Amino acid sequence: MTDTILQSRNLKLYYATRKGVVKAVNNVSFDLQKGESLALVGESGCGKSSLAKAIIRLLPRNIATYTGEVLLEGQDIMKLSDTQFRRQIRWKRISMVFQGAMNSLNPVLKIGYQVAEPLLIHEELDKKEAKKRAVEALRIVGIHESFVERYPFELSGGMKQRTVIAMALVTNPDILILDEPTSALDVITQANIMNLLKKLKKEMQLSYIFITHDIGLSSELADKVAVMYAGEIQEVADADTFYAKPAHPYSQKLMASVPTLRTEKKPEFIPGAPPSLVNPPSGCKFHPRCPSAFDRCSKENPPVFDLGSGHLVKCWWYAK
Amino acid sequence: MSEDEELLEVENLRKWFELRKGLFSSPLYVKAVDGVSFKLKKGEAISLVGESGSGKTTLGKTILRLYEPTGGTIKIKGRDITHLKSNELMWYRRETALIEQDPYGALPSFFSIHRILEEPLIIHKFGNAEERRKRVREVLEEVRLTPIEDFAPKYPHMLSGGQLQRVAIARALTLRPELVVADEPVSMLDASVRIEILNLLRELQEKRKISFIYITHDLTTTKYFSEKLFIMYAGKIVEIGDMLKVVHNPLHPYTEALLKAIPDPDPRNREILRDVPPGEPPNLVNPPSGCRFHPRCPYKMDICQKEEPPVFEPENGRFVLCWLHAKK
Ligand SMILES: Nc1ncnc2c1ncn2[C@@H]1O[C@H](COP(=O)(O)OP(=O)(O)OP(=O)(O)O)[C@@H](O)[C@H]1O
Ligand SMILES: Nc1ncnc2c1ncn2[C@@H]1O[C@H](COP(=O)(O)OP(=O)(O)O)[C@@H](O)[C@H]1O
Ligand code: SF4
Ligand code: SF4
Ligand SMILES: [Mg+2]
Ligand SMILES: [Mg+2]
Repeated sequence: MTDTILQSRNLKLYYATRKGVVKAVNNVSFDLQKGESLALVGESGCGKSSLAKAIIRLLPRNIATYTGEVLLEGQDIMKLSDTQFRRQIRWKRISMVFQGAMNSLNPVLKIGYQVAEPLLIHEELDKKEAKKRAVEALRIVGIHESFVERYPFELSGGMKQRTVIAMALVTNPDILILDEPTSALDVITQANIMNLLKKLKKEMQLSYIFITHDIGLSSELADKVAVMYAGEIQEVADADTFYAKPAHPYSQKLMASVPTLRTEKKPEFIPGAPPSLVNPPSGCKFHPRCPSAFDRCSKENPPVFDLGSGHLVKCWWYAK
Repeated sequence: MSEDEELLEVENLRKWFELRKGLFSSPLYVKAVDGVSFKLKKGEAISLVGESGSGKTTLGKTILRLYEPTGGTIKIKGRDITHLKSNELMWYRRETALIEQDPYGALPSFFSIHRILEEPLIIHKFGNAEERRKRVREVLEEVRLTPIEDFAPKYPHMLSGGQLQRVAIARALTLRPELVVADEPVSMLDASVRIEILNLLRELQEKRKISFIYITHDLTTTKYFSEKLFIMYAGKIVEIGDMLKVVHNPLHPYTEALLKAIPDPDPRNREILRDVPPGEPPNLVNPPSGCRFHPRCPYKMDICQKEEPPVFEPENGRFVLCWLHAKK
């Protein structure tokens, strides 16, 4: 039996902007098991990064709405104060590698110090102990101890990415959120990083939330896949089901648009563009682009239907 | 000019960037393109693939003479243009075009779409106002930004990424160029629109018989665009061949590694580790001796770090820079 480590229930994150309220994360619910890796896929702007920020509570200032439940081993961490969240949860239990983080390493600080920093700040460890743990974290991601004294500019792209992974792991979290961790890297370096993430998952019993817009890449790590569109999760399925037979029309279109190297299949494009999150379409958000849409779709937002063994689909097609 | 004639002939082309001129030390160079030779037929489309920093953009821009070559020659229809001065290059500018990666940054925000497309026509003194208007309508139709009346008066910020990239393509085509270099034209776009734009490029390339260089780091998209593949590593083209032959039977160890690194969507992927070489591409100031791939190559032999491999042609029409294919 597997244990659930994280549950999100009706999570919302809206931004206030001059154009109106951006509903970036809208009623998102999902479960993450211990040691499981959930791939969160979808086109850019659909709310993947926002969902990650909502979970780890690192939010911009222009928040209009931030509600819902996030249960970490049963405890609703949305109820914690910011101070409690910072002391107990962020980095210690849930850690994150941000999109583009490898390019925002501090250029004037040594690698070892930057990896140790979360320990000095959040765990108030003494310097010697923190350094020891930083060396260990760097070793785990495949960077030799001698690099502790180096600066970011002395590192290649792949080593910088390993460094930011070490920074996220040094506090020994249970859950690691990875937001497009390899999209700035070339494919061979990317494959090396994916190899590393696969090994870490096994050895450290980590749970991952792996965000990517690249469906091919998502299959490198996914035990389960969640498809996001217009701020909502449209489908959740285990990897075997998802890559063989996605159920939601958007997932099907997304899969059909993927160019592949080894098969003859010709990719198709999805006509139209993702909707505005300020004034999203009525009913099902995908209806203006959906080839299977019928009357009901533009009128009512579909609920989530359970197709069995955790396969969830938000589409009227599956109404009994 | 017949179909089979070479349009472009590049020989031993080099483009080095000077890093810093030390007062007392000799200057250092980034050897971004370092000895590249190939030919391109009229109306032929090729894909140029390589990782970030391998020199793809530099090669593309040098061919278009947006950079001054450091060495080698570029011939277009037999005419040597390697060192022509910019005032002698106006005709070449008219017959060539570059489509760049970033659809958001490539277009001037203060011009309407109509004006953006008219600009190259004005610069090259094409026709009168009426003829220019006609040409602008023609290219807008070709890239299917229709109804034209809706799009022509718009400004770039009103368009989506995919639509902007169509405008960039239309702009490249207004003067009916013979040679187009598209540098990562779809990498900033979502997967769902990428294929649409690539299909469009391919269709226009065939219709207008354009010689086309499609630059990308994404091998999976190339087979929808061209039949021929050029693989670049550390400033050199290391393999040239037919797309399917290269993909199914790579000759260069770097190509092989590249192919191994790319996942197709398959849940079994999570169970395996990919057999790819460690390390990263070399720095181009001091590239490795001999074969530039030797520090990462699983097949490396003694000769590899001593001598640079020349071009071998182990099969008809397949070229590779690797000692494994030396004639025994
Ligand atoms: N103007 C310049 N001055 C100095 N070095 C340069 C210049 N332009 C490019 N380089 C260097 O030349 C090398 C090749 O760069 P280039 O942009 O051609 O690579 P690329 O293959 O197009 O990479 P990418 O996939 O990232 O676009 C790199 O090391 C780069 O830093
Ligand atoms: N700080 C912010 N203020 C206003 N809108 C934002 C902010 N951050 C993101 N957005 C908007 O929220 C939507 C979702 O963005 P994001 O979560 O970054 O998507 P993804 O990671 O899937 O590409 C987009 O429309 C984006 O423009
Ligand atoms: S609810 Fe209707 S519009 Fe939405 S995905 Fe299902 S069939 Fe398509
Ligand atoms: S020349 Fe030698 S080192 Fe270079 S790719 Fe071929 S076998 Fe490998
Ligand atoms: Mg994002
Ligand atoms: Mg480039």
